[in-house]
Amino acid sequence: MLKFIGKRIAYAILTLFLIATATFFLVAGAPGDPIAAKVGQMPEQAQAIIRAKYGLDRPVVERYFVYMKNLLTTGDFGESIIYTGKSANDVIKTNTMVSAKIGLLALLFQITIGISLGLVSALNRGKPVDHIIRFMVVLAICVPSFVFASLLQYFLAFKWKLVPVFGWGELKHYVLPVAAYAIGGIASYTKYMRSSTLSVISEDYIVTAKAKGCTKGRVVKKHVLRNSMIPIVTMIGPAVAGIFAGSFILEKMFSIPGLGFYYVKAVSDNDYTMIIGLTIFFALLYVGSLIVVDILYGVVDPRIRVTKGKK
Amino acid sequence: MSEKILEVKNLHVSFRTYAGVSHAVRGVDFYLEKGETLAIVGESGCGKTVTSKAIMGLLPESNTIISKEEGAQILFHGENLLDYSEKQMTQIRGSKISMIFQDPMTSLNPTMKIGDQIMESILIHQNVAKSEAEKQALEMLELVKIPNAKERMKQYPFEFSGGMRQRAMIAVALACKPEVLIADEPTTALDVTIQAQIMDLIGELQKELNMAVILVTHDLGVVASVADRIQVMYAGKIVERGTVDEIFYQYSHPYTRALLDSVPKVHTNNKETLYSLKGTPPDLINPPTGCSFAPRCEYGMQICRQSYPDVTRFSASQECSCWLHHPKADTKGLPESMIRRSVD
Amino acid sequence: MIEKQQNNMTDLSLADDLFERVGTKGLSGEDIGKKSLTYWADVWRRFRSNKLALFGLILLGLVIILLFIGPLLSGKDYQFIDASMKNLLPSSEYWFGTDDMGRDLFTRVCVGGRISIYIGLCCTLVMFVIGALVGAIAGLQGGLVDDILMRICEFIGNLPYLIIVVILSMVMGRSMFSLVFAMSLTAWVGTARMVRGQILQIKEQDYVQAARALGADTGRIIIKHLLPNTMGIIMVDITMSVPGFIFSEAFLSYIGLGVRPPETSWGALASAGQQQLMFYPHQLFFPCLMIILTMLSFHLIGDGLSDALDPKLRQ
Repeated sequence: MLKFIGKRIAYAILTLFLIATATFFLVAGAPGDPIAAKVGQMPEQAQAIIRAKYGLDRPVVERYFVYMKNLLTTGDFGESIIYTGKSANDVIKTNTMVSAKIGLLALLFQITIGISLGLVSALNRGKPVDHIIRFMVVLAICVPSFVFASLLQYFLAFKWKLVPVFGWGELKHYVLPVAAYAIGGIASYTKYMRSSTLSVISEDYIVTAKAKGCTKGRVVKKHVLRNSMIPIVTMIGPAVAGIFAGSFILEKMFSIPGLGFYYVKAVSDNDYTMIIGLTIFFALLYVGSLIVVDILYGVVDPRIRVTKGKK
Repeated sequence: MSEKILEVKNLHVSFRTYAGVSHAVRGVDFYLEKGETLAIVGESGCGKTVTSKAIMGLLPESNTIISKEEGAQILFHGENLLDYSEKQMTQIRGSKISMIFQDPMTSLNPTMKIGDQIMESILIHQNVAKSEAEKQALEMLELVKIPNAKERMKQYPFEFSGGMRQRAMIAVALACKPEVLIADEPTTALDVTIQAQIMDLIGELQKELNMAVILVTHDLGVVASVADRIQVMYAGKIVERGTVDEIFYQYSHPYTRALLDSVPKVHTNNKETLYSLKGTPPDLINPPTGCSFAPRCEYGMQICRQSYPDVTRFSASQECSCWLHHPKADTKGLPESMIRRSVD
Repeated sequence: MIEKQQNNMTDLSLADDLFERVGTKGLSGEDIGKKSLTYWADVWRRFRSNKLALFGLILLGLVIILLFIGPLLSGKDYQFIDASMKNLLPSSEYWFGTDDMGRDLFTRVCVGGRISIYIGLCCTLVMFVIGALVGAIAGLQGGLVDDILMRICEFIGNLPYLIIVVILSMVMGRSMFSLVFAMSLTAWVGTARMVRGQILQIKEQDYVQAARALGADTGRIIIKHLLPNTMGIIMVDITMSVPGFIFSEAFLSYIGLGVRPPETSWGALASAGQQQLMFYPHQLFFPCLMIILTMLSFHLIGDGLSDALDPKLRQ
């Protein structure tokens, strides 16, 4: 098991390194001149001074080595070109938790509600409950999250004035974004849980459990649940990782000061140091969560734990 | 004659499928005595497994029709299990009647320790503490001859070989020392050498626990050494039954003969080709009128395709449903042993 | 067995000719067996019997027809700006109303839909071709080739999808090509893994081993055995991917990285409509309705297909 984790981490570091390198060269080599956009009206000489300050006058390769050195030695993700004095580290420090809170809260709802609905739907296969749940799932999957967000905003906030339209800080501000974020996920977890449960309940060992004299409740609790959740656990990995990347739109719509909000802003501002810094940080979060989930997966499914351990 | 602990009367089971209603079991009667082994033999799809699952009450509720109106009964110690509620059935399953299945690779829960799986039925049916259940489970695992039982208790099914898993499966089924064990093709998925070991084990445990066993199989070879009585099923009906000797040496139904001929024998002449029965069992959605075996029977007569033959009894234990035993039947070319007369 | 009053075995009144032997005459083994349909005929039969799936197919057909004949019916140009006709509600003149620049929304929805569906199909095609090719090579070759390809897949699969798309769209500029490239860059990994998995599984199956033992060459095995057996799962994947890409495009257009004006798409229209939500909700409603209907039809078709292809999931 330790060896497996070690290998996984080594591989992740390689992935991160490649992402960082690729991002740097792609973004640094992208069309558009951020300095010209920011201080285009200044005289050429003044622009050159600013360019020199950010090291933009040096070749890309050299800037790359400087950047990587700073990143690895001091954990410096870079300073914004557009907003003087503001660094990617500031954004990461103050805004990561905002995105994480919304994302994790939404994920929690997605998983718990999704698993329960999927289980109920599968265990009542063909009955009205099943049809209703399946209908709602299809509906929820077919509606983009920004449409949900708009609808919620329009009715709950604008028409009925139950919650604020946007803003951030208090508990009531969580309602709309979390709900809009959770709906699509609930639908897909329900869908996967349903099909996973259906395939588990047709397994031979469920017949064995019934033949032992397990009541229906016990069969579900002791035999169905754990086995049907295994494929769901694999989905949670990328989902946790995607929390930060998936909230771009919602953060923008509800003006939530999260990572995604600043990332989209950086992209539209062509703030290239910010983009590079945040991208690398996103990748770090993403790859890191994948590893955590891989390890968790081993805890849930003994087959993986043992075979991977033996290798 | 010893006590009949299980009696199945006029059992009809049908399934609703998307193609129509499939009549899997069409009027089956039999009994099981204390401590004996009854073998139910037939090709796949003849209704053996459905019959055994019906006894356990394990058929899917949603699409199964068991004809209680036509007088179907499954009597266990004289009580009709078909009238039992689901709750009452859970008390019977695993404690009084147990079942083991064909494929040991898939019939154990992959995410539960072997020990826990054995303990589960003890904890459900007996009011004992966990430590006591653990002790009993360990004894069970030793009883089915799994070496290092103590360590094995903590392992998962994927760490067991096929034969070991079937042993564990037997331990699960017998944990509460049931009166009846239904073994559904217990050796089909195993290697030949392991097959004999598992059959011997079932035989030994049967004597030790004084259980009655219903052995469901398609392989007459497996049956010969362990069964007391055999009944042969075809297309949802019992076509012949008798003691082991009667079935092997005095068989009276052409289908029994076909089954026996397709078992390779030690003394089979090299030049002889192994007999193979042509065709497949009939479509049970529209079962043929008359004898369902008629289309595949080399001795088939006009009447076979028109009406179903009633039972002819040859001895206290042997009976058969075949028109060949009618006084007017054309017995030309039949083996001498098959030309029998009713005792009634 | 229950004793009957009258046992027909002792009934001597039965006519003699009933006992004439017929053997297995007139009924060969094949006749006795169940009638079997070919695999695809069976799949089609099951698909057809699924009313929802059939509804999805018809719905998709209607949506596509509308997209192509819509502008002809309305007789308007999707780029024509009429400053005096801003933000009109739906009427007999403007069926879906007009947008904030006075353009006919109905025509724009139709034209935008073509682009959305076109992008969805292009991405799926790229994803499928690359994915199937890589998967097939990895699965069939095995060994070192398989190892390297799977490592690459694992690497790409580990990349945060959305960020890659954002960066690539930014770097390559906003064009249809960059959009399709960016969206399919990471998507083919899933297809490749799936195809490889299927091939490995089927390769081990007895009938393929048998075909190989009988001297069938690799090409024949691929065409005769692997293709028909992997087609099913690939088809489901395709029907599920098209709406996924339409969704992604809508998403990218929404954050301003999608198609560039004056071209438009459902996502771009929805994004524009969202700005006007508080006052002119219909501007968001119509593009969303079309997205939802298209998604719905693809999902119903995909679900129907996977049900039809998997007999285990049916009773």
